[in-house]
Amino acid sequence: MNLALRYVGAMFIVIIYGWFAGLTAQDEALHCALAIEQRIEELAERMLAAFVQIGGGSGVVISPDGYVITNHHVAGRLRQWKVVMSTAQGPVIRQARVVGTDPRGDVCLLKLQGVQQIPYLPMGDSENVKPGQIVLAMGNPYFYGKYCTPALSLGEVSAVHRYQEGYSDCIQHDAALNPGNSGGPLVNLQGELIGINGRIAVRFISRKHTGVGFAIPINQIKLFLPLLKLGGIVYHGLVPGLKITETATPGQGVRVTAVEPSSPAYQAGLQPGDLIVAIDNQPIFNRNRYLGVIGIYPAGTVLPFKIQRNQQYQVLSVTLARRTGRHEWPARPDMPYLGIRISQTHRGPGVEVENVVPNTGAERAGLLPGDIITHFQGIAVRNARHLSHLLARCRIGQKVVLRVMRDEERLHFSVVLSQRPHKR
Amino acid sequence: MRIFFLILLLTIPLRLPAQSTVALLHAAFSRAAQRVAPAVVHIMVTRSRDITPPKQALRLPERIRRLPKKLRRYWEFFSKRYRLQQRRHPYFQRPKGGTSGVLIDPQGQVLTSYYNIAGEVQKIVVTLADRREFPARILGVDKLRDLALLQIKGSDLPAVPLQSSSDLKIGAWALVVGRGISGPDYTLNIGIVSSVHRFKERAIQIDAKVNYANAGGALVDIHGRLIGIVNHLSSYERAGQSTGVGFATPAAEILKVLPFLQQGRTVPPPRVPFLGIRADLSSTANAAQSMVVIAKVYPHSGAAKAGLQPKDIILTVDGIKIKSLLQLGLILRTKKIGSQIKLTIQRGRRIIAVSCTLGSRQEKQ
Repeated sequence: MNLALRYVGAMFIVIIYGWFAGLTAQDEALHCALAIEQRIEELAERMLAAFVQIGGGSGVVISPDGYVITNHHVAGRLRQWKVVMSTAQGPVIRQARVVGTDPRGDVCLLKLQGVQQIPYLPMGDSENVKPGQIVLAMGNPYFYGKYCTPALSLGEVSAVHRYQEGYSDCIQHDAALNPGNSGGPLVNLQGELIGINGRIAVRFISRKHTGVGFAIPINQIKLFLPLLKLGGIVYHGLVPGLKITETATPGQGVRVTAVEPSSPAYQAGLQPGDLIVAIDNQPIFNRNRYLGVIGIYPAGTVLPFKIQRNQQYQVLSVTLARRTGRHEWPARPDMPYLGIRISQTHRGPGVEVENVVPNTGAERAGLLPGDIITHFQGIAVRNARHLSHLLARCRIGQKVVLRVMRDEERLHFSVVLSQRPHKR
Repeated sequence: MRIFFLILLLTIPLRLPAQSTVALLHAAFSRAAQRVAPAVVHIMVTRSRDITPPKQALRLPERIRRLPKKLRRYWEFFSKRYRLQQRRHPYFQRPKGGTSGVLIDPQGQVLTSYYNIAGEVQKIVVTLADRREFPARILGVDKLRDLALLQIKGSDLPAVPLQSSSDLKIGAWALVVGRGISGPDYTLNIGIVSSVHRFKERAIQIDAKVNYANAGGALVDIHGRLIGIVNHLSSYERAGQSTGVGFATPAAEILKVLPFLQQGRTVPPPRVPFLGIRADLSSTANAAQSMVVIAKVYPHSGAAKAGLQPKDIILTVDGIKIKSLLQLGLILRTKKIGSQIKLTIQRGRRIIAVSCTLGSRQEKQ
């Protein structure tokens, strides 16, 4: 009898235990959801305080003295904007001046005027962003938010380091982005700004959210910020004179196929056949990734290129030239100088001298306007570009022999190459 | 011996091993939805004629919109065929299929969105979660708030009451429960409250996916309370799927008009003060528009009687300097219908002071 009672007692205790455990589990689920909800509401308030409504798009305050980041396609075309911000007293209109802009990277920096200490969003580290992380995007989709009542949307990071031509290293996420969300902040659950929303992937010409949105990573913006603060247009960089191709087995790197002489690529020491494996500790596995990594840095940055040459690894320093759309590069300071101005209208082989610069080797040697340089050190000169390539291989102070045609007469001149004078 | 076992039992913590955050979140979402799901009903509407899509669904090309009115009319006349074709195109039509509603009263009152039952309706059939079918009749509608109240004959039906949540903040969980296909399975879409100020404080914006099948369905918070009805299918979404911008009417707003709907009345759109002018929005790109220039004066309005003309610039209203059209709109909204306002306008080089009596007009969204 005693044993049966003990057995029933034990069963009773187990049942009560199970019931309590079940209850606490249910409460735990609600508490978990409420905790996340509270966190998102808190973040929403912080984002709202730093949110800026600029014309048809959005922006975000990144420092207490009033610097605002947005997209170039939102604010870059004007110099002055009247922006709306939300404060405890209601919406206020403030003046903002466009300080600097980066058209290709779609980033624009503005400065609010007349503010001292205003709420801002601290910048995070976009290297820590991984697929699956929860992110919040704030903006003004379809311009419903008059007088700065923006909308918040929740999403997850779908992918990082995506290349989208201009958005060279962007974060792909699925928070709802629609027209009006451009320039708005992308924030992680720690409350840090990790990107600026600017583009979406659409089909059939309908500019609506499809689950694919792109944000410029904050690390890229941090690299451009000092130059943007200086003002004007900030250019992206490229390595001119470099021709690359993808390797036969994908994922190894990009192979250099050609390097133009006297180009910055040549100066850095890149040679055809090199395999570019990493740039600034970022592995390069294909052409888009190469363009993507180059696109993070502004023009003028010196980047370490890790290359593989003859089964050995080397690190070369490459300076990025300006990506302006024109295919030129600045001459290097130790480029030897003949001292002639080349005519643009000459047809046929050889280079026609339009003018001779005083106090240079060409003048001292006796070259005159109208001469046609046909051979340089015995090599037939095809055109002006060819001549500059040939010149690039020489040194300052070297004596070179030119064969010149002057009025059907073949002459030889010995020219001492001088240094390039400073450009006015 | 007994004491030994007792102590052993007490050392076991009174909880299950901690579940992962994701599992807990899923459990919370399911529980909240399950609380409301029995009251979410499936609605099937048979119509003889549907409403035409709104004008926003057919955007005229920019260059046509900029033409002076006469030329635009010519274009519209000649391309009417094109427009009719567009309206009949399946892309702009309401898709075939069921939609959702919510039982808010055990005596059979079903709340849904007006769009769901708009058009020339022949028959409405409401199917509950337990597959019981009821014919329904429309009690009352409110076009402005996109609400409709239906009545089905039954008693002791599973219903949930509307609970107004006055402290709804941006970022709160907003779950949408629908029943687009009749049967015991409901649909759940999860999102957050995107914004609480929309349509002149009559609606909130959520980022859960709202489509034709779950419009009219229940907006639920994480506790499982019915806090609103999902409606206002955005005109941008009418031609396609949800784009992450969805709207819902919160319970507080519904409770304001529910008595009217229950009495079987159609809630008329309210009348608001009307000055009688149309001023074009000059480049909306910059909020620095500092002049309100009249483009048209509507005949028989207060503005017409006061003598306002197109191309006049409104400088002040009752002493307040007008810097933008939005500001003018806000000021007029605070006035009473029939009251007088003093305007100073600039016509050419003269500054004239006029006094206007405000008329009234129907309010549109």
